[in-house]
Amino acid sequence: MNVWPILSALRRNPMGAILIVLQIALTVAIVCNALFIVQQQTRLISRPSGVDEASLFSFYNLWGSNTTDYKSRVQVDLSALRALPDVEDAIATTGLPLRGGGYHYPVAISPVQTKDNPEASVYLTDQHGLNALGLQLAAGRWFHSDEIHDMDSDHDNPESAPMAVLTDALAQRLFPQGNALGKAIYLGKSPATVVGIVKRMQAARISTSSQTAEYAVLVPFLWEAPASLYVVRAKPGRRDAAIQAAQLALSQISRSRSIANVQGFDETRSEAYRPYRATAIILACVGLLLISVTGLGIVGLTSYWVSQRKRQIGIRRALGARRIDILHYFHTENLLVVGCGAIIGVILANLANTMIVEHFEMDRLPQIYIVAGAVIVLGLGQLSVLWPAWRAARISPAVATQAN
Amino acid sequence: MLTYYLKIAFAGFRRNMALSLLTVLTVAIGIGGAMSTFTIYHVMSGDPIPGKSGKLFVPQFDSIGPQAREKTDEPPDLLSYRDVLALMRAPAGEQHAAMYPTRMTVTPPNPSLSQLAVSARATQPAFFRMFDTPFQSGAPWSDAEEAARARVVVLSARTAERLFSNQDAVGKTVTLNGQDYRVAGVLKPWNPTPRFYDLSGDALAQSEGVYLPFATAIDRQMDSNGHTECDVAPAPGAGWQGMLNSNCVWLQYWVQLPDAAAVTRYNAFLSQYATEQQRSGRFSWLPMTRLRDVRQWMRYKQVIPNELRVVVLLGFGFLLVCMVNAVGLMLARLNGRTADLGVRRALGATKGDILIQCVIEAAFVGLLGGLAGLSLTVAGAAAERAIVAQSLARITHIDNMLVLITLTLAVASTICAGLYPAWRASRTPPAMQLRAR
Repeated sequence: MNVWPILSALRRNPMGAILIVLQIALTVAIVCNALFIVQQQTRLISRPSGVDEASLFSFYNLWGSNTTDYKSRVQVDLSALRALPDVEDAIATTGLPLRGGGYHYPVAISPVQTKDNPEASVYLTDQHGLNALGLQLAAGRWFHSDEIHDMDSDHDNPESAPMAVLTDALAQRLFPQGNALGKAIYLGKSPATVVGIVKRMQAARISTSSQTAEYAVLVPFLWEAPASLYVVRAKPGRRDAAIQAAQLALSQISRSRSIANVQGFDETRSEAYRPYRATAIILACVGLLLISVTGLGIVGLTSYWVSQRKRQIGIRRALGARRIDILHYFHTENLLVVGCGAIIGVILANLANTMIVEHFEMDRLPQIYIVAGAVIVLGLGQLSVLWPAWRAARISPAVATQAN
Repeated sequence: MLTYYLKIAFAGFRRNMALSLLTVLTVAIGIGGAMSTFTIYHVMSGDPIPGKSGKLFVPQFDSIGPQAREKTDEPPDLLSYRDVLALMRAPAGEQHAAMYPTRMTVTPPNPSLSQLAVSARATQPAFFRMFDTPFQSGAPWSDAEEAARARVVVLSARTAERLFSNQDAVGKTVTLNGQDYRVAGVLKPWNPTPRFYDLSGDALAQSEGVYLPFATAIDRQMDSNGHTECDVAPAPGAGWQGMLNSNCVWLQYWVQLPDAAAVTRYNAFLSQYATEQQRSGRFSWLPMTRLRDVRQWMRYKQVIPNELRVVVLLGFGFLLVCMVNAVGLMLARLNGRTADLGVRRALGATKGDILIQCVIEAAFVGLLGGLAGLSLTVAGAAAERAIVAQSLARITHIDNMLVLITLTLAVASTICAGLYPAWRASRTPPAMQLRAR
């Protein structure tokens, strides 16, 4: 099909075409940036935490009166929890993946700290930790009961741990040759021997970088303090029953405590990722609305063109153009205009992304998203022009003979 | 004259109802989309303490050094206990308050109820004066009580209601961590948004339920449940005193400085203190201090997350697309009205008259679109409340300011969109129109 008549028609009345080009360009720029952010947030939200998410729940335990003997209290609590029929295992600690809390240390492989040491979450755990969290041991071993030291708020110093278990991600980062077992890591001045490696466990704070998300160290301490986080793993399928039973059992042991923020792990996860999910949903909605508004805009403007050019179309028909020719005409015209918009949109999308990367510390948009955005609008354009073009094709050649 | 234009605008609107409604709808969707994303931004960028945000400052001082610092070129957000003690000796005339968050258990007066945990803030009486906290009854504890490490507390409205229902709590006793405290005052509901005085966790977190004297909390060895950062952690067994003597940072500190001269004086004092500390051999790194007011502090702490800024940006891009769409629709609409515009021209209306008329019509459409967009914004904000974090959902609401912004934005952007169609319409030649009919 010859495009010259189309171009000359566009040149005679360029405003409508300019508007469509502008609209398409902006739509491409916005939609592919939005799509990319949605995809990034979705990937972030769906990362596994490494713990047994289906059976885990956790809550804060706060002792009311000024007692000093927290050690025996915590031990009584833990053995009571572990004895419950619905409970698989339990630990007392300070932090949990996605729930926050705990310690954060730069981890080094020599006593000399440098600035680029990776920062990791440090979790306290006793010999039950592996089972209570539902972690998978990838290499080495877990802590034995005689290796667990006491830690309370006055002796609050996980740096002194003589041994540690690392996540696979952190082990690979610290020892790229892959032989972390038996090596020493440094949270402070003293070395801790790596005795085991777990396959996966996320840091307590959400990290937007997938690289550092699983930097975690487990150290053998029993946390004995006025406030602690109890993490309980229920028997498969018995979580809700275990939540009830655990609270009842603890309040029977002592009433001078308060139990706060009981959360199943699913709740912990959804609370932690709420802002990310919200961003994704809002952007997806904006993107969808945008595509529909642009589509409707094309329908509107093309219909308007058709009604304006009714007479010319009639004349063409009278001169022998078939319906399919008229259809072709409008589809080609749309392809040209939308294609123009898409090209400008690709440039705009890159500009917008450069700005977003510079000012908002976000990742660079891969070109595939821009191509996808351009293809989407080209398809959208063809789809939107279907109905107006069909109406144009229905114009009778007799129109040519009518006076205005 | 204006009423005449409005009458024409109304008549024009009715003349081509479908196209007019479509234009209004486009404007409404654009406004609704942009403003739904803007509502969150609006609350989060608000001034949490109007009138005073330029007078309240956070002094920062680097006591942990380049190894432990989170950012290479900024001191930590918090201060160590020994530095807070030193800063309290600053030149007279300024108000200051050290503070840290902690958690306490409350034994309710009714023994059949179980214990409950409350968030608490250990602070000094100046906290209430500096931050203009509204009191429902009673007053803050006195400086003398602070110095005497008295067991007094100020309760939030919510805590007071939970413990004492509708009775006045002032003068009553509450049992906190197993010890009796006298209630000195009860606050009115007070939740500065964002919670500027402690931005270390959720910036939109609610204020604490209990406030107690700083000296009392230190004396009772109450742990902070906020962040603690150390260069070298206190030796195991050093205990509470070891923590107080260490360089570990864990305290927030605010000062109120009345004018620029006081700010300069305080800055000088701060850097002099840092230099002295370095000279005395306490640390080897270069002294580093900062002094930021509430606004600067909120910006530094990135209260508005980057994701939100991008969302708002894209929301306004969306509005732009809708407005481009509206330009097309308005062009089409005016094109259908060349006849009566031509008649008006022939009857003596100048180009300027037609231009004004078309702009007023655009403003009319914009206003309608703004009103419809406002309801979409309300709906959008309600939908957002369901998906955003609870603390955010609590504060997201449509206030008068937001209504005003919405309507202004709608009218202004529609007028912008209407300028080109109006200009085109104003060039309608009179004679041709008369001839055509």
